[in-house]
Amino acid sequence: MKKQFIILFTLLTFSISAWAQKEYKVSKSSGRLNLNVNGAVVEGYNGNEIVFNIVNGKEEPVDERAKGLKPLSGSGFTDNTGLGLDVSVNGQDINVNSVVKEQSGILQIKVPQNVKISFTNNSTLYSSELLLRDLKNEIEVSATHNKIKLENNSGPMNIKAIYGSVDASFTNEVKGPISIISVYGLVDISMPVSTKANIELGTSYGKLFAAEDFKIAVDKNRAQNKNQNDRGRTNVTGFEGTDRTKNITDNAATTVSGANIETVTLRRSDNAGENIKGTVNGGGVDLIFKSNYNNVYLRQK
Amino acid sequence: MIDPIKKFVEENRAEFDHMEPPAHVLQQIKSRLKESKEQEKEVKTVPLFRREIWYAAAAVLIAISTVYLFNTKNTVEGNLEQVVHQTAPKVETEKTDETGDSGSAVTLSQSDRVTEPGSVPLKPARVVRSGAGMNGMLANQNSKPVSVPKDLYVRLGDSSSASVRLAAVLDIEKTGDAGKHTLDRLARTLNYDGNSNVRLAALGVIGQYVNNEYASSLLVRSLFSQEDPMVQLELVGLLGNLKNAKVDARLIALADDPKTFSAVKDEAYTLLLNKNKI
Repeated sequence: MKKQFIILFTLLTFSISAWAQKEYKVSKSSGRLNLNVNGAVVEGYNGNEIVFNIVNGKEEPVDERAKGLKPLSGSGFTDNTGLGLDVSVNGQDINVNSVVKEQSGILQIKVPQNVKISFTNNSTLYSSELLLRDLKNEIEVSATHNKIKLENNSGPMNIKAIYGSVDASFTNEVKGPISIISVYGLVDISMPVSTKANIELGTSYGKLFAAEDFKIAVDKNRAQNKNQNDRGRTNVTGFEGTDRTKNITDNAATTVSGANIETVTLRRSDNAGENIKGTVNGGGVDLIFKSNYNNVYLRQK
Repeated sequence: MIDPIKKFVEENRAEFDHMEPPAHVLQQIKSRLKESKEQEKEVKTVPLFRREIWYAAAAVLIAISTVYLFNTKNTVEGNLEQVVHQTAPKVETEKTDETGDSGSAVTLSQSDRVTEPGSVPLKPARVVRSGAGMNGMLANQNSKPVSVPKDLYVRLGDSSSASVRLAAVLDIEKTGDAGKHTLDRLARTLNYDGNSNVRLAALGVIGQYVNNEYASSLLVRSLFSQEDPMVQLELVGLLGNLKNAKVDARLIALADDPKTFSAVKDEAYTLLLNKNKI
């Protein structure tokens, strides 16, 4: 009796795990994956298939009345994956749309590394975290409330967040341009100190922080022009080293010794916040990190 | 009314009908008729106001003017292309590869930034600005060919990749060209690009010349038509301090509009309060 019970239990466990690991695959190793979902974990791998699955999906109670009937959705999408997703391939585009407004569980997608990713979620009610990891091609994100995490992606990247924060960690080899902008959320970047980049950091009402190891050199002439522009229209003060960016200016002053390069801090106007534009390690890929109302952090990886 | 001739003919019908005309008379008459018709044809005049003629003339005129216009445009572009090839034979632009393993890199080497012979050198705008000021610079550049490589404009219009467009905007910034044409192209990106990051980058470039009349007019126009809240926010911050009645009116409109993004509204209110406009 005990043996039978164990066998039954094992079979039951297998069946549940099989249900939990329900997958949907699309054979595609290139192109653009357009995600119009609440959130997702997207991971790059060396393969030729895009694999979708839902983790920790809630088991919905069986509706006896719905038996034999087909679920309808005002979105116009039909669940052709069994995961509550509508996946369609149109040439080089792989379009993924959520059939229901709120996804249950976490959508995990494994994609060949060279597939481009485009994520859009403008929903004000339904959003979850977006994690993009180990991707080697273009990434485009437009999110309203999603928290965004980027790990070991090589770029290029265009990331826009309204209320959510963006945490990004770059590899040694990044391809520009990379633009990460949030209105209300913080922007936290960690990258190798050796990265050669043209960098722009900005915030209107937040603060800028950078690790001491980053030597950011701001072009003096550019700063002067900026200052002239500001003076011309607002009669606001010229160069002003402020405490907020002291670290950055000190670092640059000690390390950069070009004829035309000198460190300065820009101050556009009373309400225009902080803006720093310069080069790291002599310049290279274009990096833009901005947050209007929150802080921008640049840390060493 | 009695017609005497008719009456006479009727009374003497028999006298008139007793003789048959000779057979050749009819033939003669017919031949004469033909001759007269041919003569008529020969002297037939063409009416001056026939529609078809005018249609044809209009079509020819349009065709000629179209060919002329295209030819002039091609010549200008052709010249520019020629210069690009002469001075920068190697344009190392790694565009996104759909199938390749290398992924995508949207970097543009220094070699493809080309200077038009005889035009303003491709130094950052600041160098020129230090002389006669922005207006002078614009005037100079307007009278000479554009110094931004055509390739950048092509990439600026690449609808398939936002990163390519963003790279193009940043590369245009590096050329330092602030000619009217370049500003117009950037303004188009600012107003119509599908990606906010690209729009903001374009705004960043135009915003550097906010003291210039033409650039600021483009920005003010954009403030009125801009629909992207993130760009609106930057525009308001950039233009808010300008002493311009139009800008003030737009700020009031934005602050009053319930649909305006909250951050934009806050910014507009702050600026208006600072100006004592509300």
